[in-house]
Parts: sequence; C-alpha cells; structure tokens
Amino acid sequence: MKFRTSCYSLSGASAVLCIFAIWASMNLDAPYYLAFDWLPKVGLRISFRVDSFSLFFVTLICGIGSLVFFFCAGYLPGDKSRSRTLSILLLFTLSMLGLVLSDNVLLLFIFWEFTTITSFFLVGAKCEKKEAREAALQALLVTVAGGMALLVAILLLFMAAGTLELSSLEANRQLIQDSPLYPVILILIAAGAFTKSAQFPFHFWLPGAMTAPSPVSAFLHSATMVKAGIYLLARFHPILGETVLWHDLLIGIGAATMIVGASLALARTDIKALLAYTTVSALGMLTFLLGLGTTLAMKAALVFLLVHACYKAALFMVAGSIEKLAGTRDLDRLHSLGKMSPALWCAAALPALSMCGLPPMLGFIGKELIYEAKLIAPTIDELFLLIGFTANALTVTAALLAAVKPFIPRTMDSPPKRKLTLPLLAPPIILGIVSLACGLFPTWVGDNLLEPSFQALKGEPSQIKLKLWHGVNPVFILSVLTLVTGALIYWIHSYFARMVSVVERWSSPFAPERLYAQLVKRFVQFASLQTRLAQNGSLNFYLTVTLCFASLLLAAAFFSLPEKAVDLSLLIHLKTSLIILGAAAAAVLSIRAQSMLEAVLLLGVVGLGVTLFFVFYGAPDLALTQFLVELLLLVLIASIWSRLPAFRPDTPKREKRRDLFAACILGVFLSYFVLQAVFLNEHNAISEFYAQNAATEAFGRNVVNVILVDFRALDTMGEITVLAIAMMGIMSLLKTRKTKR
Amino acid sequence: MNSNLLILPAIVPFVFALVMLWLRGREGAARYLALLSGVIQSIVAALLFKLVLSEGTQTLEIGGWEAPFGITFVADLLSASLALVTSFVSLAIALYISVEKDEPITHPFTLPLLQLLLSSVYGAFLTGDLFNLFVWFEVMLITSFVLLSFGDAKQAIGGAIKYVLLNLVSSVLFLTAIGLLYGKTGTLNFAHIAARVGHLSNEPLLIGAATLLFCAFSIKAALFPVHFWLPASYHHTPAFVSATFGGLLTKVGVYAMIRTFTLVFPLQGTWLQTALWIISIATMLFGVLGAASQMNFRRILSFHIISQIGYMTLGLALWSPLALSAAVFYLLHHIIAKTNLFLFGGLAARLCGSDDLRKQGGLYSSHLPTAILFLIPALSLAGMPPLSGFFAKLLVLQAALEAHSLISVICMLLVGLATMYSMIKIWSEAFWKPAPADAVRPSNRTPSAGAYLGVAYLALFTVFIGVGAGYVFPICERIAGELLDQGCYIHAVLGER
Repeated sequence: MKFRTSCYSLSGASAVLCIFAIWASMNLDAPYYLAFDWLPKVGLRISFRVDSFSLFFVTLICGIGSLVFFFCAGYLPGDKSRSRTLSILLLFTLSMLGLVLSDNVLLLFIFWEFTTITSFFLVGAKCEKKEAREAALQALLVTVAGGMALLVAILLLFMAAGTLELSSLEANRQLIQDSPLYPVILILIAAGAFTKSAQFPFHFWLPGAMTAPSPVSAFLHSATMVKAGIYLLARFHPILGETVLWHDLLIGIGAATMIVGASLALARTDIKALLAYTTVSALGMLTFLLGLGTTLAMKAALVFLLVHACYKAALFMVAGSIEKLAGTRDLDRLHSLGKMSPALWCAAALPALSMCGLPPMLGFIGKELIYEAKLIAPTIDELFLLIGFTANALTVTAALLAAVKPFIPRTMDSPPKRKLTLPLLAPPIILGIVSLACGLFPTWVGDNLLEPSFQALKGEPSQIKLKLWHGVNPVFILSVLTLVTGALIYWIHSYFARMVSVVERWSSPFAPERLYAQLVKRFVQFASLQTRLAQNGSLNFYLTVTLCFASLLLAAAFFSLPEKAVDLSLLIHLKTSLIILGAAAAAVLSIRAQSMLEAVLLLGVVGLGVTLFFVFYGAPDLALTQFLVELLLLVLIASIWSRLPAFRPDTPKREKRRDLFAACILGVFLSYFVLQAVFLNEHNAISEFYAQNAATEAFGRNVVNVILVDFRALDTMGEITVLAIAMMGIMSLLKTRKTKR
Repeated sequence: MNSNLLILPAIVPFVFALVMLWLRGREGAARYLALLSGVIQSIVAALLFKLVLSEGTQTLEIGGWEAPFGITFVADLLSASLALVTSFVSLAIALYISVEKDEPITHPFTLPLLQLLLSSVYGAFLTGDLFNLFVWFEVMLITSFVLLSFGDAKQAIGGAIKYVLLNLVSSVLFLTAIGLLYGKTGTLNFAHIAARVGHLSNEPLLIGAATLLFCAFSIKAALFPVHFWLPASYHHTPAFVSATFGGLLTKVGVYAMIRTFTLVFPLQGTWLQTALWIISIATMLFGVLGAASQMNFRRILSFHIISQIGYMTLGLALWSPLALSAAVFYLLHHIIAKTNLFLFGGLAARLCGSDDLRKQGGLYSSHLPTAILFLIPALSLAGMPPLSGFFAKLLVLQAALEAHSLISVICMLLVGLATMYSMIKIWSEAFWKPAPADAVRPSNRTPSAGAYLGVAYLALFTVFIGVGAGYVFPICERIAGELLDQGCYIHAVLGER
C-alpha cells in the first residue's frame, strides 16, 4: 500500500504542476529569469528562463509524468526493485524539468547528462538479465558519445560568442553564424541531438532500451527524454538555423530516420519494439520539420510533439497492460484480447486513431499541418514528400498492428474475461480523451498553449490557426490516401514484414547496431592485446623500456643543444684515465662472469675505482665511507652465501644484445652530460657558507659532520628513517620465513 | 612569514608512527591513534591552508639556518592545498579501518608505516629544497616497498620487487640530476636554483639536468611508457593501503613535475613541452586501454590512475593559465576520487569474497547504500556532472580547445568514453549482475559504520569540489598564477637577496 500511496502522491503533484504550467503559459507576458553564478570561467551559470516554449515542455513532462506515475501504481507492484524504479523516475522528471527550464546551455547540458544517467539505470532496471545490462550500456555509450560532441560544441560556442545564455546567444546570432567555427558547432550540436533523439544512424539504442519497464518506455523513450534532442534543436533554431547546412543536415537525417524507423517497425513482432521504431520514425519527422524551419513547419512540429506524446505514451502503457494481461508482448501469439478486456481495447483504440491521423483526433490536425508545411515549402524536393507519405502510411499500419491486431479474435473460443486494475487502464484512456478533446477544440489549444510557445521560440506570432476542417484540398486528399495506403499495407503486412526482414538480413553487416557491437568487441580485443604486450610481467622488459625511455629523452636533449663540444681534458690525466679504464674493464668483465663470486668481486673493483677517485680529489672521508660500504656489501653477501639462489647467467642472446644496447646508449648520453659538469660553478656554492660558519655558528670543526647533523639535519633524519624502515621490512621478511618453516 | 605550522603536517604522522611502534602489538590502540592522527593532520593542514589563503606563501627555515643555506619548507597555495587534500585522505582511511572486525590488519607494522608514508608525502609537498625532496621520495619509496612486501602471496613479493627496482631507476636519475644542478648552480634550494638558472639559459648542463629530472618524475608519476611498476604492484596490498598509494604516490610525482617545470625550468617553448604533450596523450590512451582489458576491480583502477595522470600532465604541457589551473583542479579531484574508489574496491572484495569482477555480483540489490555511495566517485571519474571529475575534464578540454590542440581534444573525448565504459563495467559486474552461483560468500556481509563514514567522507568532497567548483576553481586559478610568476616564489623564500 505504501508504494501505491507514493505513486498517487507523485502523480497528483505532477498533475498540479502540469495545470500550473498551462495556467502560467496563458498568463505569462515576458520570460521570467533567475540566475546565479557557478563557474563563470567556462560560462557556466545557474540560470533559468521560464518562457512559454519551456512551459509547453513542462506541461508535456508533468502531464505525461502524472499519468505514468499513476500507471506505476498498477504496473510496478510485484517488482522487487519498484521503489528504486520510482525514485529514479522522479529524479528523471526533475532533471528533465531542469533541462527545459535552463537558460544556460552548459547547465542544460548538465541536466542532459542527468537524463542520460537516469535513463541508464531505468533501462537496466531488470539488471539480473544480461540483455538489460547490455542494452543499458549501449544506450549510455551512444548518448554519452553524443553528449561529448555537444559539450565540445558548447565550449566552442562560448569561445565564439563569449556567453552561453540562450537568451543572449540569440542576440549574437550573426556573430556565431559568421564565425569560422559555425559548421563545427552546428554539426557537433546536431550530433548530440541526434544521438539523444535516436536519429539514424544512432537510432538503434532506442529499440534496445525497450528492456526497461513499460512505464519507463512510455515516459522516457517516447514522450520526454528522446524529445530532449528535438528541444535542443528547436532552441538552437533561432541561433544556428536558416542556413544551407542546417537545412540539408536536418532534412537529410530526418527523412532517413523517418523511413528507416517506419519500415523496420513493421518487421517487429514485439509490440514495444514496434512502437519504439515508430517513435524513431516520429522523431525523424520532427527533425525534418525543424530542418524545414518555415513558420508553418515549426508550428506543425509543435502540434506533432503534443500529438505524438499523447498517443505514444498511451500505447506504451497499453503494451504494458497487454503484457500483464496475456503474459507476452509477441504479436504473433496475441489475439482475442478484445474479448478478454474490452476496456483495454478502448484504451488502445483512441490513441491509435490519433496515431493514424483520423478526424476528429488531434493527430489528424497534426498530419494535415505537416502535409501543408511540406507542400508549400519553397525548397523541398518531391522525393521528401514521397518519403513523408510512405512513412505516414507505414505509421498507420503500425498503429493498426499495435492496437487492432492483438484484440481481434483468431479462434472461435472466447477466453475468460479478466479485469485490469484502474491504474492500468485509466492513464491511456485519459490520454486518448485528451487527444480527442484537443482535436475537438483545436482553437483553444492553439491559442493558449501552442501559439504562446511558438512566439516564445521565434519571437513573432505565427498567424496560423488550428482548425479541424479545412475543406477538401490537396492536403486532405493526401491524408485520405495515407489512410487507405496504410490500411492496404496492413492487409498484406506479413509479406511486407518478410520483405523488410530480407533487406535487413542482407544489409546486416552494415547495420549501425552491428557496427557498434563490432566496435566494442574490437576495442576490448585491442585493449587486451595491447595490454598483454606492454604489461607482460617481465621485469627485464620493464627495466629495458624504462632505460630506453631515459636514453631517448637524453638523446633528444643532446640533439637540441646548439653547442655540443665537451671538454675532455680531465680524461687526459694519467691517474684518472687509469682508474676509469680499470673500473670499466671490471664492469665489462662482471657482465661475462660465470659465477656469483666472480661477479661480486668484479663489482667490488668498480666500487674501489670510485673510492680511488675520492682519494685523489681530496675527499678522504668520502673515500673511507665508500670503502666501508663496499666491504659491508661483500660481508653481507658472504654471510648469506648458502641461501642465495643458483647463479644463472644464461639469458637468451637476443635479450642480452637488447640490454647491452639500452645500457650503452644510456651510458653514453649520461656520461656526456656528466662530463659537462666539469666546468663548474660560476656562482658561489652554498658550501662556502658551511665552511665559514661551521665553527663559529654551529660549533663544529668537521664541516661535513656539521652539515649532516645541523645545517641539513632534516635530510639526515629522513635517511635514518629510510634505514629504520628497511630494517623493519627485513625483520618482517625474516619472521615470515621462520614461521613458514 | 615564518610559521612552524609548515612542518607540523609531516611531524604529526611521524610522531604517531613512533607511538604506534612503541605500542607494538596493540592493534586496537593503533587504529584509534590513526584516527586521532588523521584528525590532528586535518586540523593542522586546514590551519595552514587558511593561513596561506589569507596571507600568501609561507616559509619555514628549518633549524634557523637562513635560506638558501639550510633546508627551507615552503607552503604556497599549491602545496597547502595538496597537504589539505592529503589530510582528507588520511582521515578517511583511518575511518575506514577504525572498526576492528572488518578490516584485519595482517601485520603490526602496517599502520605505523602508513603514518610514515603520509609523513613523507606531506614532506614532499611542503619542502622547498631539491635534495630534501629526494629524501622524502626515498622515505616514500622504502615505506611503500615494505608495505607491498607484507602481502603473503608470491605475486605480491614479485610486484614489490618490480616496484622498487623501477623506482630506484628514478632515484638514480633524480640524484644524478641533483648532482649536475648543484655542480652548475652551487645550491639546492628550489627558489635559489630558480633564481640562478634564470640567468643561464640553454646551458648543456642545465638541459641535461632538466631532462633527467623529467625522466625521474615521469617514472614517479607513472607516465607511459615508464608506468610498469604501478599496475604490477598496487592490487596486491590490503585495500586501505592501495587506496593510500593510488591516491597519493603518483600525485607526488605529478606535483614534483609541476613544481620543477614551472619554477626551475619553465616548460614553455622548450622541446620538453612537446615531449610531455606526446607522452601525456600516450599515457591517457594507454591507461584507459589497460583498464578496458582488466577484470580485477583494483587493477582496473590502477590503470585508470595512469590514464588520469595523462590529463594532468596534459594540462601542464598545454601551458596556459587555464590549462595549469585545470591540471591543479584535476590533481585535487583525482586524489580524493581515486582513494575512495580503491576503498570501494576493498569493500566490494570483502562483501563478495573476491577481487575478481567475474566472481562478484549482486551488490546493487543487497547493498544499496554502498552502491549509491560508489556511484559518486565512479561517475565523477567518468566525468558525469555535477561531480568533480566533470569540471576537471571540462577545464582541461577548454584549455585544449583554446590552445587549438585538436588531437588533444579528440583523445580526451575518446578516453572519456572509454573511461565511462570501464566504470560501467565495474558497476555492471559487481553491482548489477546477480552473484555467480558458485561464489563463496563471506559470513559477515555488512560494512561497518566506520567503512561507510570513510567512503562517505570522501564522497562528500567529491560532491563539494563539483558543486562548489565556483569556489574551488578560483583557488586553482590563483595557484596557476603563482606558478607562472616565478619571481613571487623566489621572493617569498629569499626575500630581497
């Protein structure tokens, strides 16, 4: 009961907000602004604009939202994740409201991403199923990719115009359109909108997203979220629109989406998939109209937005109820539902009539306007008219398939009547009645809802009155022809579906969803291969690469020097060169050593060479230290002699050569830079201060000691800590060895 | 401008480490001490940050030996903010392990060593002396090596050896560079070196030293292709240890790089800038590919560190006030989000009995609060608004666009998408997928209040850095301003000399 109560209260709240939005839209004279700074550096402000166009969307979101929440009360109980689904739906509604009310484009983008992520969780609501998880990922990746394009576009827009407020961008229209960045901005914004609004070739995520529960599909994937792209394009029409690129891009993609969506719809047997493809087609239609961009087309788009939201949400809810009623959504297995639940048939029939565009539904007015817009548009090819006509006819067929076919009996026996609960039935019926009422009173809807929002968008009145009856004219004839064709196709739809399937199968290697799957698969394969090669676990390889990296950079540093000469006079000294030769010989020999003892002793010789250097160059204390360290090392190695692993000098020859090369290169360049150090300071070294002040200030005669314990005591403390920690490490290692024995 | 506050962040954990060692064997006490230490560090770091924010760069001459002769600690805004963020990490980790029953501490030295590690991180952030920085690096290296070697698996030792050997290469290069620099400039104090280097440009010796420092810090920061030590070792330690490593170690390398290549050897216009740019791009791409290929929770995160380091160094390579402030913003965001994700890695492993994503599952239905908290750092890392990662990426992106660096922009977008992919992989496998039938479930499956507090504490900052970007970013801009004005740092340390 508690769950239902929250559904009802959410539904009530949305309904109140919806009515308020209508009232506000009727009484709003000028847009209402609200703004705070957030991150001005990138143009981000928390700024909202309430104008009639936003309010039109608020009406849609809250209106449909209210019914969807109501529907949830009937649909979701029994689902164990129902509360989560409901909470995320609420979050989604809020994000969507934020999206349509934002004045700042970057703020809009933030809400845009919110809707993406909430949609991800809703699509994956049945997360124990693999397909649901994959569909969620697919939807997310496609829309996030589009979102990134949009983000870049927004940043470019900021660079071009210096502001991100929609209201001031409109004033800067000329500046933006003249900018060399304009085509890039437009294409990227369109990419964002197209992915969100499931335009061809990004449409495939939408049918996949049908794994979401029906209320979610009704809300997000037909009525609201997928319209966000359309909203964005509409908002940007006054800023970026009315150019050749805008026109061609939107009309081309819109037309393609329209026809692809409508044809694929007929080949589906899952009602929700069928509805999803018709949604794709409808979204294509909207893009197309925005591409046309004439006054009539924009008005038609607004009407069609309302029409589509009403009938499509209703039909998705009906699909959900059918699933509840019959336990399946498969059109091939569904029949005689009309007898089982006449009320449900009624709930399906009203929206389907609107979808077909029959008078006196609002859908009829919408379709008339669209045809009219296409017929009188100055720059449109006949081809597009044909595409539009076909898509419309196929939509009629789809409506019949979804709302008639499952309900007519196929066999004589009558199934038992079953009652569906009120929340499952009422919302689609209410939406049907709304469509009908709007169709019967078009002037009221037009004057109070659509005309103000058109004005808010375009800044001028449209002078177009909505009427139910225009008389017999070419538009009406087209409408009738559409209906007839649609009905005819319904009659032969099984052949048509088979044809579409054949084409689909034939073109499947190029299908976008296939390309997506391939891309993800190849990406993961490539990633694994690449990582296996690079992170292969061999320490030897890692060390070689690390040394090569250093050599490469040192080599680059060397070649960047304008003056490469180095003073070798130091090497000419007899003592020096003898020590160097001796140490080098020992180093080379140690590589070739055949036993551990030999290697250790030869390395000792190298250390001794270093000690001799200290002796000859006036640092007897350092020499002593170095000598003691060398000695200690020998003692240590001798004391653990018996426990050392066997000496294995047999590295493969190729590897040896590789290592030799790396070592030599590094050695050469390092030596070069060290030799440069021979010309020492032209500045006074700080050591002079130490020598002068050790006795007087720090009261010590031995300067080195004073440095260690006073001038730079912190360093010494650090190094002592290092030793102490190393000791702790050794202690614990020895302990584990003991316990293991 | 001489304030003893500067040394306290390093001293506090050091003293606590000693006390813990003294109390050896009393593990419960050590947990409370870690908590207390975290609180005190936070207070000290916050006071320091406040002081620096209001009164500018602070210095402390250790032992009273005036700069440049003694060792000087310098807290400019960058150092102070990093110290502050480090103290957040320290407290969160102390909270995470505060409850005995759920995070067994396998070794009595673990907690004291962790305190020493923190001490060295603070030291590295706050020191103003090149050789002293090296010493802190050494403390950090040996501490982390010993911590890594505590893992009892054979692989853990193998990882630890790779870790220490590759990092020793870095130490050798670093030390050589110090020698060369001292040979040329006769000083070790950062500001003093910078002042003297300013007079001698294009000296072969200096270029050699700069290149060596560049290599050394690249290894420390785990840039491609010298990142190998990181994915080889991080996932073998207990979660809270790898969280400290993942959050802080590489970032000290990045800090050292930013400090050196703004103050001593300004990158702009040198060939090293181009090199860093190429390396950054390669690092971003490589890291994310690695993450996409893994199926181990914490290994994915390890590879992500690499990828994200690329973003930070890209900010440095792009070299503009915006790019630098973006890099600093990224650094601050990343330390917090990454530490938190590693803690979640530990939590998930504890709840599912395995670190392997294939053996995990079902946490979304069984542990909703954990799942929701996980989403905050995960989505932040993937760049979802309005969390910190979104702004970090947005700012670097903006900087790249302003620099007309098309390749950077494209790579950033691709990497962003792939990051999203691998974060969702973790979500989908560990949280959404039903637990595999043959999974062995640990008996105790409720995370303690301490663990929740720890992760929630960090999640809070992730949200704050995002929602409060309008407050955090101006600080980063100020930092970038300070970094680009070398004279200001030199003056603060050396005065009119």
